[in-house]
Amino acid sequence: MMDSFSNLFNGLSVALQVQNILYCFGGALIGTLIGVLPGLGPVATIAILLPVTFYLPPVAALVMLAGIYYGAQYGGSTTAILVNLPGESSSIVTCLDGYQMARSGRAGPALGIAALSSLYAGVITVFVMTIFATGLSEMAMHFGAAEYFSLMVLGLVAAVIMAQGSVISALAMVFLGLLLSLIGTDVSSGVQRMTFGMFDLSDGIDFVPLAMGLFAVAEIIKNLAEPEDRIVLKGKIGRLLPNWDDVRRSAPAATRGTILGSFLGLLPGGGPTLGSFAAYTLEKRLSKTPEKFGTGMVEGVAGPEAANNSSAQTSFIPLLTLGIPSNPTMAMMAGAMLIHGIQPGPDVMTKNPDIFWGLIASMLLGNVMLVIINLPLIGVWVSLLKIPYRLFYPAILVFCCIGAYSVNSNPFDIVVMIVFGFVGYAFMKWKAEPAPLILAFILGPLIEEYFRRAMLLSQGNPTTFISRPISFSLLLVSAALIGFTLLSFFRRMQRKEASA
Amino acid sequence: MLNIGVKCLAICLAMGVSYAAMADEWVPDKPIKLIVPYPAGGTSDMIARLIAPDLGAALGQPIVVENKTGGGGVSGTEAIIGADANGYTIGIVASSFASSVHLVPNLPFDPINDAQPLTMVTRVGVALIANPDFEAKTIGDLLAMAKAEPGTLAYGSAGNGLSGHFAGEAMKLSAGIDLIHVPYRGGAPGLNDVIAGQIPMMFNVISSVLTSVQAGKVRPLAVTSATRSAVMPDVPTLAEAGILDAEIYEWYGLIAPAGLPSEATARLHAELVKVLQKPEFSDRLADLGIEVVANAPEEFGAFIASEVDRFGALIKSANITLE
Repeated sequence: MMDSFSNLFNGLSVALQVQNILYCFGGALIGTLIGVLPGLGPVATIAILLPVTFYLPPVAALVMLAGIYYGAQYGGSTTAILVNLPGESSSIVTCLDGYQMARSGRAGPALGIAALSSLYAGVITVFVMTIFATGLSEMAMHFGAAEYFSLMVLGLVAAVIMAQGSVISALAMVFLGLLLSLIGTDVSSGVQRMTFGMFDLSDGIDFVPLAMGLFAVAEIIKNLAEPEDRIVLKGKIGRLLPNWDDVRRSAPAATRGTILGSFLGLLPGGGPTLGSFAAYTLEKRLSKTPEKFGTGMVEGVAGPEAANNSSAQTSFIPLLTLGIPSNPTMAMMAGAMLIHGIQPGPDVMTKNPDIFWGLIASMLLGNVMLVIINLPLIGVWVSLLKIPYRLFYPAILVFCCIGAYSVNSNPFDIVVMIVFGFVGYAFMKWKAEPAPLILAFILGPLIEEYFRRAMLLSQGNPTTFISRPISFSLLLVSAALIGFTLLSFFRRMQRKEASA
Repeated sequence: MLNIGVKCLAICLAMGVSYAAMADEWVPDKPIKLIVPYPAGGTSDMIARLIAPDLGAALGQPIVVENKTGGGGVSGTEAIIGADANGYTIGIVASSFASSVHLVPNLPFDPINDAQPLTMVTRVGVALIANPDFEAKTIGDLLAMAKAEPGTLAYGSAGNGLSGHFAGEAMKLSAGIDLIHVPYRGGAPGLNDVIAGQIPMMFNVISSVLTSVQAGKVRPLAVTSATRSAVMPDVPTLAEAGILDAEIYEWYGLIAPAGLPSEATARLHAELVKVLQKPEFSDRLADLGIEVVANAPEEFGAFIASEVDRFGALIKSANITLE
């Protein structure tokens, strides 16, 4: 344990290098910007910036991308409170009480509580991560091909179950993602699959243009297709510092939010959106006056805001220690690491301790920076909300094209990006969340590789997956999750029939 | 009068000299593109970026390194070979340049006739390494074990159709043993599995396993180079263990499109050799067990041709396919 903290201290010395401070600040700034602006989310932004990070040292790249992610949690709440529009999906619940506080003339304290709860959660979570990471990473060191296979299966099952929207469409997305990931040269046998004789496809579809298309280009099309509709709260924001009563009520809520959020962030399929919803529900349930929620309860801001920030941070842990991305943003981070030739997994901590601990320690700095960016500079962000969106789009699109081309210097990637931009827009119209697709795209080839390696090593004996205890337990949990989901699905069907 | 005559003579001489220099020496007048068909951060990219500044300084024009990836190196190699043969496009290729002709269907280039070899840059042997707890402590033990229980022992490699895979298959053929090949996605995950004991052994290039060998995390059983490696002098070669015809290297070389004027070939080769033989370049690689070769274009060309034949035979008899 002491080791972990001395590592964290070393990480801090990495994070405090001038270059890394600058990139951390840049990430936090961009994160706040896109958090404030509804439309482009962190996934799309990170997708757009992936090719840029290619030219940065790996630590600076990851520090910046992480800053965007948790920075967006801060920025998102500003829009939620002032405009009653969630800047990010994770700040949907902040609209409920935050906007009501703003309407009753307490916009300042609402913004203050949101930022301070996030800071509080961010700092505590860094220490939680430090403790968990070492243990998980040591455990993963003993994983063989069979254990990894079962772990990836669990990750994929969780991706389907946790997905927003219908299970059917999530399943469809998973299978589509798996199919797309099969394109290219098979690692185990070297066979070319679904390449139609095109050399451009023989290394498979690149992750960067796929993600940029599905998330960034599709978002742009969607935003252009829908009329802009934003009414920024008129009137003064007032003083930002909450009063003593606010603090007294928020502190326990933020603590509960932090604990709940950091736990939910660790789960495969978890992340800030889940964290914030769960924290809101918890606060409402614990409150003596649950009926007042939705009318401007400060606990309803503090709890979810703490939770979304802490789960944004802890969701790095499964990626960095086990190599499984638990949500699409983490899939992007995995992509960023792979660009630099770093395979996410237990090795990151031993082989690239600078990256691992530097990244975690940078979150301490980043959270402090974010409070400064968000509170005193709130006026800047409010005025940004008045800029019409159509002015941003052409620039973003051009940037996407340059980015998609620059990774491999291959124009084919631009075509891939544009095709998936339209596909992604179609998904939005069909209300099919593309998150499971991108997770399956990352996990699919790994599942296959580990499955076949485990089979080769056991000389074709499939019982290797259940005779090894860790692998067996992981598969058992996956089976339980599937069983539970099916059960609740059928119950709902029955209830529907009964009521019909 | 005399003065003028001397001046005239001097000018004539100077012109003559510079004329001669122009005839002998190719001088580039714009930047030269060095195409790397593999992603940034890999070995070929590292070599290209190490050479580029010094080569550029020697030629008086910047060398622009461009990663053109895709198709397992095929797209980038195609771009090198399809460029104008004027000396302004060169590229780096790896061992797979010779073997891919037998492995990739409809390969869009011919490694022998479509390229003008410049020089082989480096080569490194492959090491057979095992987990320290593995019963076979020497290559002899391993051969005996493999003969006693055919088809049960597994070895890892960095991937299908790469040097480690060829080394394993060549050893199987030559020693008449049967092992299971387990390909990994790159050398590092395979090495981890050997260290963790998930797989007993693997063939991987010496430079990639050296630190783990020195730390005692894996035990080297043999190397595939013709002579023992300077960084692991105690480790026998496969030939010493009686396994012949299994000499495998992973190599990197520079090529230009075929039809490059001979003056350009000569100049590029001459400057490359000077850069490669600089001690800061060769010593740094020698510490990793990588040998700087810097041979003549003809030798490199002959080597590529012989590798194409050798791998053709090996791929056929070991029944290695990518299809």
